[in-house]
Amino acid sequence: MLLRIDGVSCSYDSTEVLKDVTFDVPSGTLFGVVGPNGCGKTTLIRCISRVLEPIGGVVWLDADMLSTMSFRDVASKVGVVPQTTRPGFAFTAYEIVAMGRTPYIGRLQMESEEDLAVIRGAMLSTDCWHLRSRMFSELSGGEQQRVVIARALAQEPRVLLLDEPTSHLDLGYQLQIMDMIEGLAGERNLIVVAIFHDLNMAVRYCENVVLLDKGKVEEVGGTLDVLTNENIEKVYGVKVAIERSPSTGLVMIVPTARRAKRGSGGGD
Amino acid sequence: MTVARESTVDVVEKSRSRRIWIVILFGGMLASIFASLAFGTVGPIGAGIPSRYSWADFFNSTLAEGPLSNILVNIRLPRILLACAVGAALSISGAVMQCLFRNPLAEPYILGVSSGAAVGVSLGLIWGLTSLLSTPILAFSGALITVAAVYGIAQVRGRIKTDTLLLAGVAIASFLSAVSFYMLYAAGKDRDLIISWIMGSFALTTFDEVLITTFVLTMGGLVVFLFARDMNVMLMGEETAKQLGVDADTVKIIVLVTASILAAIAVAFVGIVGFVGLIIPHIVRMTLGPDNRILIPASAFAGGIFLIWMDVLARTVAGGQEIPIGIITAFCGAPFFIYLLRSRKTGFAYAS
Repeated sequence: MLLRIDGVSCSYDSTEVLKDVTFDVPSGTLFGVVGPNGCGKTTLIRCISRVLEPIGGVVWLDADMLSTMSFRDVASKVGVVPQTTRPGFAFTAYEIVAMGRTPYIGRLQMESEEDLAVIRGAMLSTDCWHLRSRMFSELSGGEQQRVVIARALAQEPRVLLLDEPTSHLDLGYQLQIMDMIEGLAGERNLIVVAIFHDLNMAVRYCENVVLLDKGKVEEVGGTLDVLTNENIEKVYGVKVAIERSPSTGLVMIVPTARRAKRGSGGGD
Repeated sequence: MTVARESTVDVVEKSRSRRIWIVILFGGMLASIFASLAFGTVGPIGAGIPSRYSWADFFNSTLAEGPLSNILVNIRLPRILLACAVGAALSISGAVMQCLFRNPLAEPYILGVSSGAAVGVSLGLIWGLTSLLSTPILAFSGALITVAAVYGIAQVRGRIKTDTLLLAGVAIASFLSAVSFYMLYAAGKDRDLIISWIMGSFALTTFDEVLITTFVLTMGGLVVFLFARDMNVMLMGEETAKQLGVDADTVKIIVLVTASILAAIAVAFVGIVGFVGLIIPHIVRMTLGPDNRILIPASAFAGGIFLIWMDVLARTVAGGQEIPIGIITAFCGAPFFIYLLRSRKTGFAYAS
């Protein structure tokens, strides 16, 4: 399976949000999307999940052009974990995950035994099977996110898209969720595209990243090759020190000073 | 296989066991249709004017010709059947609108759809277009134009603003009600006709009206039921629904148009009956959960039962006098609406 973003441009009304974005995403490891607010990260996810039609360029899933596929076909290949999930009315965790089977079930069918097995497997692999009969809205943020990831897995996708999957979670849950996603990517050889605000999370979990700035690709490649002092200062307007911790061996990006005026980022 | 079997033990069985309620409510609806025949000015229960009939007369009259049989079969039965069909149509319509707009307060009366249909029918009354076909068609047209207008007002960049939706609905509803009542008033229609419009009435129902209403109800109900699973997914938000494989834009149009037609057919022969579409789906959802595959049929049957008995009240509580049905549903519905508004769990706290 290959996910190829080929010259994709997107606009809302007349404002161009993505300009000629091109990169390939390999499978089995995490691929990060980073960049300042408003650079087009979420728009990119919306393009890859077919909810937004690009005005130019093509998103390729193997040999298929995404824009020619039905919602159903896309949903059987691409699972999405949004930033927040707020279902109208009270569904149980199980019912939320069962919705992941939508692309596989006919209009008048009930879930088959096979569907039930997939749902259970998805919930077990994100450690939320024991929450199945609880109301989704009564779960903690970390539990909710595990349920929503299980829903995406129940789609049996080849591509998993995550929009800041840990942004509302505390430190413990952040690591738990990301460790889990990393494991799933390896086990199921998934293509995983995840948006990160926290560059340290990207450094910690992603093999490759794309750095976006004002809708354009600034650079794409190995995480530490892209997230250099120069690139970060150029895009975020922040001077950083990139250090390898002597005690843990982890690479840390530490902001040292904010540049008075952003070279390219605009805004405050 | 053993893994799958194990997984069906609790949650799935629990949700599937709820389907029995569809059968129970359907049975309750049939029982209500028969039992409510006994209530009224004439019959074993009611004012007993001019004379009271016994239960024996009541049961015998279902078999034999006679004055009581005539009243029960040709006058009372059609109004009971129409009340049942209208209750079902309004409840399905309300369930659909609450689901599509992700708000427990949405329903055809509050969103102005019923008033839109009423304007259509009032035009027909003025122009002399009161045939069995023209009335529903005018009601459909009025309802669809209204729903398009309310939707257009509440839509900002493809997203529905729920507060705006409800407020626009309430404003348009009262505007359109005023329009249709003024039209009837200015055209010199008699007061009883106008009142029956404001408040709704099942008096003087014919079997033809019952047939047309039941036909539209059945068709509309089936269409909505076909999209029940899609509507479940759309409760997660339209973008998420698309990412889960539902063509949300298409489903929304089909289902919303169908729901408006259902609301319109309810108005066509009866007038405006408020709050049924609010109360019934909500009570059913509180007891049976939000799954539309169960909610839609269960609401339909529960709505039928509810309106049958509301109409029984309408024709019995004030002795020989009929109370307009809308007074009774508003009497029950308005406090319920306020309760929902104030309720943290089900009110605006849930809507986005």
